[in-house]
Amino acid sequence: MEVSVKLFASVREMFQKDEIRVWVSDNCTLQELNHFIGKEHPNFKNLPGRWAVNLEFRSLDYKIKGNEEIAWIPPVSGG
Amino acid sequence: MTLLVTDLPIDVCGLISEAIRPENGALATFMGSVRNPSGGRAVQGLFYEAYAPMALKKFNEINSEVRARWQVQELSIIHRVGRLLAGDVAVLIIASSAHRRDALSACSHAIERVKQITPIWKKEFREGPQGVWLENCCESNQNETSNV
Repeated sequence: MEVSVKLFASVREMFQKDEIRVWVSDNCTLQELNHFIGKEHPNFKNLPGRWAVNLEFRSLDYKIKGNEEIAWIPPVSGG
Repeated sequence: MTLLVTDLPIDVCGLISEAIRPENGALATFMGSVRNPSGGRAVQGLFYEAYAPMALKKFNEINSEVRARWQVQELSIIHRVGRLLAGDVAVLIIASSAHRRDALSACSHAIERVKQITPIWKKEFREGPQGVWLENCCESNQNETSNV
């Protein structure tokens, strides 16, 4: 399935786009999503940050379902 | 109660006035503004970016955390995004309660949690056109999971 990943701040600038689309296997984990993105975009490897799915932080073993809003959250700096 | 991410200037006095109630004997505020200089460097301004829907969800979570721990009547969290200059207000927290300890503790907790869990980022502009994305220190980003 194809998933969209929202990008912000330094990562958005690095990719020069605010969203990327990636083909992944059905029910893949966020860890596997890392792998898929890293294959296409080596710059993504080793970036600090966290995954958010449907506006909640999720761990790497979270299994992606269809039609979820997925975002990569770089280290925050609000305030 | 106001929970808001906005690209407009924050009406500090207006929001504080709205939070004043006869039944509340205490009102605490935290106002964060753009600092110049910062860390010994001249700062021209900051650019704030937010993942607004998630930021608002986190503001709501912070509101729930605060109300579970302290007797607070009003709690407002307002964060500005976009380009800000030195002295501009970036974030405002207002907590009101019957007694001072609840308001002060709630206000302190709220700003700490905003800095820890809210997906908002700032880019600092020093000399020249290239800015630098900053990271909050301390425990703000300790729970992150690197994508290694």
